[in-house]
Amino acid sequence: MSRSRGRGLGTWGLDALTYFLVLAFISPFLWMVLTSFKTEVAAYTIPPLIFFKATLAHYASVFASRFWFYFQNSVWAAVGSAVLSVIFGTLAGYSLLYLSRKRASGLLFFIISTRFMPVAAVVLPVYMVLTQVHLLDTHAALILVYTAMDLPIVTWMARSYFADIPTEIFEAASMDGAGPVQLISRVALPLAGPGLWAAGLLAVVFSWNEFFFAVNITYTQAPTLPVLVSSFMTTQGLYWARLSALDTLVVVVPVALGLIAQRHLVRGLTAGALR
Amino acid sequence: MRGLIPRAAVDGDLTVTRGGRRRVETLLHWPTTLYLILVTQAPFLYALWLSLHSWNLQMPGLGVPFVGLENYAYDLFQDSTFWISILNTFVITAGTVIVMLILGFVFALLLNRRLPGRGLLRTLLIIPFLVTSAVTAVLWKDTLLNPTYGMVNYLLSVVGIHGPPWLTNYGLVSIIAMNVWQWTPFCFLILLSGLQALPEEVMEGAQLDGAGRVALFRHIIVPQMVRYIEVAVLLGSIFVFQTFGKIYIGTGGGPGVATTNLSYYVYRVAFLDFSVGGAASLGVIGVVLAFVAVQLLFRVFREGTAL
Repeated sequence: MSRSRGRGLGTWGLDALTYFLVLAFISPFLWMVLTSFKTEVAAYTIPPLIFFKATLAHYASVFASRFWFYFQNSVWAAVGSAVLSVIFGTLAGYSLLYLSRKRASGLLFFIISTRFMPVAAVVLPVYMVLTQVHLLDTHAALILVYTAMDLPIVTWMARSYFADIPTEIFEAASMDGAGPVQLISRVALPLAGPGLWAAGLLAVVFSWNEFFFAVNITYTQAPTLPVLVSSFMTTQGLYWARLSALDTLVVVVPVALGLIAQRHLVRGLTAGALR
Repeated sequence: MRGLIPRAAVDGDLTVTRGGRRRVETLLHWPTTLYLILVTQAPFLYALWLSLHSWNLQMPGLGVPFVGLENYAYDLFQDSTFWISILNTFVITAGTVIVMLILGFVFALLLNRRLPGRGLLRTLLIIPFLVTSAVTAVLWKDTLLNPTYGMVNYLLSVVGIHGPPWLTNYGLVSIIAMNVWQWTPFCFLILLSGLQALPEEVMEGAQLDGAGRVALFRHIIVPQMVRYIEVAVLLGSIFVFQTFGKIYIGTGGGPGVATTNLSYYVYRVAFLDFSVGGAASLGVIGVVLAFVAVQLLFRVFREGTAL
């Protein structure tokens, strides 16, 4: 924009409205964080307290419970599936650029359609196969399933980042004698690097937050944090402050990673259809 | 030489080199393709097979007899819960998508303006989308929608309204509210990227006053945004179609079956009734419904991508 102009009263009004609406919209999240520092009595006080004597007791009690066991399971499932899906997805995304238009388009349709298949349709067969191969309730089972859920998104993102690299750069590199391996390792990967990292972070976020499979294919050995939240709700749902402390701890990882990768969110969410 | 350059970049058909040998790059998608066939398609075929058999895990003595389309016939003609779950799935999906679209558009328009702290506001607004859905369910069920101590009914009481027990009396509305909270940021992000793709003069003009602004919005901004709206609606529908955690934690599908959608019903039949064939047939029906949505989605995608 080249010209500057004064900000009228209407503009300030709209600004104020924007601040109000955004804060109102995320207030449930802020309220959750606030509640986690209250005593249980304060959490139930009506009218709700905004100022109170803060306590860290609930965080201490969550840490003293089996939080870290579930946390570790979540890390295994999320990082394991993210690493696998970034490796496979990067190769596939790169490969798509070399396929004929028709084949690439057909393959992409297949890959993305697997992401849109209702998980309810496959949860039972997957459960039964996992039982037969003795993988039920293991990290491997979660990694296996989450990799399949993350792969389409990572592949689509990788494809679109590779497609952004100007042809001239590939041409120059191959004129200098670079073969297929060097083209990937010296040209494609470094240039698409930030995008691929973002794809990996989003894969962690999606796997971390997954609930349907987590609750149905794990029990005592490999349950993840969303399962802990659910069972905590059943057994100790009346302890709002402690529950809020647990909730806050559970969402720290996905919120932080998602915000780091936020510039890449649109591309990831729309499977590369929009830039 | 030309064969070394990615196909998409040179816009030619270079699957094979001049010598006729397949380029190694064309093979690199196979790990992904095979993996997805193995982990998604094979279980689906297994589900198809299961759906044609009667198998109750609680009664192993009955064996696994072939029953043809009996499970489907039961779902469609004898099971009223099935139709309720289909209706609820539709209501939850449509309700969520409509409200998400309106709120998402409002936020996108507001945050596409220049204002101090715009980046921070955009960042804050994304948070609900990143919150674990199990946590969203707990947060809404307890601290927001609790009839006595919840924030919503407190705020209503301030203006003199005696709020109802939301999850029992307005279960579907409550589930939709949770979904809207999670998916509005998603819609906002897509529509914002659409607004940002508009030529700057358009947005400049949109800041004019009065009737000119309305006309610009109706005749220039909305038509240009159609594609982004379509993507938001279709992707949103496909994801919201699968709502599970909020129902599992928030209402348990009840009261009765009032908030049972297809995903939750499959879970119930599979893991509470142990009816393998019944759950499999429900899942297959879900896939058919989703397939229709995906077809629509790709019609939109194909029009606009560089594919």
